Amino acid sequence: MTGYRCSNELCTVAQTGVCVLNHAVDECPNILSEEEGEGDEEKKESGISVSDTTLNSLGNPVLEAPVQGRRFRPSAALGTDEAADMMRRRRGKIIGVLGAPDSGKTASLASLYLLLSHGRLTGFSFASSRSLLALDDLVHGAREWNDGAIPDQMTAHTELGAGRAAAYLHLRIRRDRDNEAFDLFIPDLPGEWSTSLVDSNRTDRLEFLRGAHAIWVMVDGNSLVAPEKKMNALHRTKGLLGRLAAMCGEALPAVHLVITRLDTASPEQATIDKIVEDAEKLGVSLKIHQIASFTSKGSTVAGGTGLSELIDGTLDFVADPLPLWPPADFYGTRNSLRLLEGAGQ
Amino acid sequence: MTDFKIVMLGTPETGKTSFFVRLWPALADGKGALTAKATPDDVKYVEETLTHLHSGAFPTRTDKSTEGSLTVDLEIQQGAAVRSGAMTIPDMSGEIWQNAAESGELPDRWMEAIEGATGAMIFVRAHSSLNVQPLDWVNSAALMSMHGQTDNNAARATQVVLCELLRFLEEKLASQIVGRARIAVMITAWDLVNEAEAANGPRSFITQQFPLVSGMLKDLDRFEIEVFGVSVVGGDLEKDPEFKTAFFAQDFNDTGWIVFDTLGGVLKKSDLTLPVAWLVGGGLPQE
Repeated sequence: MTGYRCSNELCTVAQTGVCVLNHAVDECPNILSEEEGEGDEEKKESGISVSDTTLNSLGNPVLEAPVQGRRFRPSAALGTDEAADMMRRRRGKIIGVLGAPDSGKTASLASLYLLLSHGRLTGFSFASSRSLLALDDLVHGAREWNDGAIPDQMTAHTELGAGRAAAYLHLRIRRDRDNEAFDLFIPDLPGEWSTSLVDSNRTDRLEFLRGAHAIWVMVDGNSLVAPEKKMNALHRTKGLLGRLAAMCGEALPAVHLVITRLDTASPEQATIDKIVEDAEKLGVSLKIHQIASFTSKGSTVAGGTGLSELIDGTLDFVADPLPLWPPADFYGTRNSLRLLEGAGQ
Repeated sequence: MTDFKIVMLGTPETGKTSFFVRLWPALADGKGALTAKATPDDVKYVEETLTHLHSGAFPTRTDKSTEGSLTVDLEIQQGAAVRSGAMTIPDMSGEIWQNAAESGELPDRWMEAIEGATGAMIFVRAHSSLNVQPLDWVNSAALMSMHGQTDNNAARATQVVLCELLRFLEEKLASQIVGRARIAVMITAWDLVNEAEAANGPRSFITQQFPLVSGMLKDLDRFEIEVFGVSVVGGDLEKDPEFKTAFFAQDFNDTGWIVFDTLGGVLKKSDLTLPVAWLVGGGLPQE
């Protein structure tokens, strides 16, 4: 530990001595003095130790067991082991959220959470979350869910530990029409994993998707409308779908194409039809959704539009049943219960 | 032998102390579902705070008496049975719960208080100015666009804090006992809700005001849950001078009431011991 502390939750200066915003450490406006870093007087007097929860909320795996009698299990993003344990016990469903940087992944999860916070996710209600604070951090802008580039310092830090183990959001929601509850686990997949899947066919970290309930492929609606962006967007989307099809084979989960930013862009039907057609040729049967996670000035499309249908479609879809006796390599090199442990390595 | 232990949780100014203190004379009065068999030895704090209520004031955070924890041993009569146990407010100020919700940490003795409890009361105050509303799409978009650039101190929504407290209870409450423990959600200052809200009842109030909490309450299989609207003296002593005047004209033991949902609708009862009676295993009247 370097002795530095930073008020920016994403900064690893305490471990690396390097400012995540590329400032000289002593000059960064976020750096905390020794006194500030230790918590306020009131907390000290009452004997409460205020732990530094910034590491947890970065999505670093929460690997140590809670100390008996002193801590509750934290409500940060779940680490791999914890998520695997819950998945086993609760028959949880993984939703893999893929897509180019800035395709709207964080915004969609934030908007989903806002809808639940206001009791406005039509057809569904919140039941619980073991990562409630991590979800709440999203809407407070206190963390991102793999949108945008990760600063170099973070990359250097995460590669120290043989790659970053994925963190998971957990959301348990209840469907109104039959009162059935679903435990959704959404891994924090760094944007570059989607990119390197397309560019280099790097599949090792994503093989766990074979056991996912569904994959959301997020595409910025603007990129399917703006003429100078459309060709490449179609090309990259097709590339991603092709890699997924090749990687998962018969085990490909339901794939949902989620076209974001409906408040500013609604692609032509012909464009959407083209994607669907290309996907069919790859053996991928796409479900199409258009969402507006937030709304922009002048738009008549409300924030949260399309999310209820996305959730409904995701939970309603029953994939072709998996073979009863899958071949040995069906789930990659690990058995199904160790799917999640493979993520991130 | 301790037969019941009730732990009372809630963030600052949610009415824990007021309810606890108002319960006192209700138990002593002998007309409710529960009756105190004997006055415990150490009731100095309760007596001091009752003096506030008698004079027409709610206990406030600035009172020294609202710091620290409070535990009172009780011997009560419930029907034909005599039961002994304790009620405890581990942190009267409520700040420890606020901090715990954020950090997940609690001092050993309070963690043990929850583990050893047989039931819990969790408090929230209706329409309190301290209640933090959930973010909406406008302010969330603004905060998200500022990601990484400022140190972001927007407070957590009250419902998020309550969900975390419920999660703590789910993890630790009554971990030593067999069977379903009970949790009473106490919505204090129920006299401040409007007519329509009152008519729809306390559970509906939680659904409207705190959707995340409402969902979680339905999901907590491990417990029996009941939601009560509570008014410790029947009105607002601080902001309603007419009520205050009328209050002084009453017998103190006739003030205050609780409401709860039944199959037949919302019931209002003047017996303030009912939530505790329910928590220690009793039933609730249905009419």
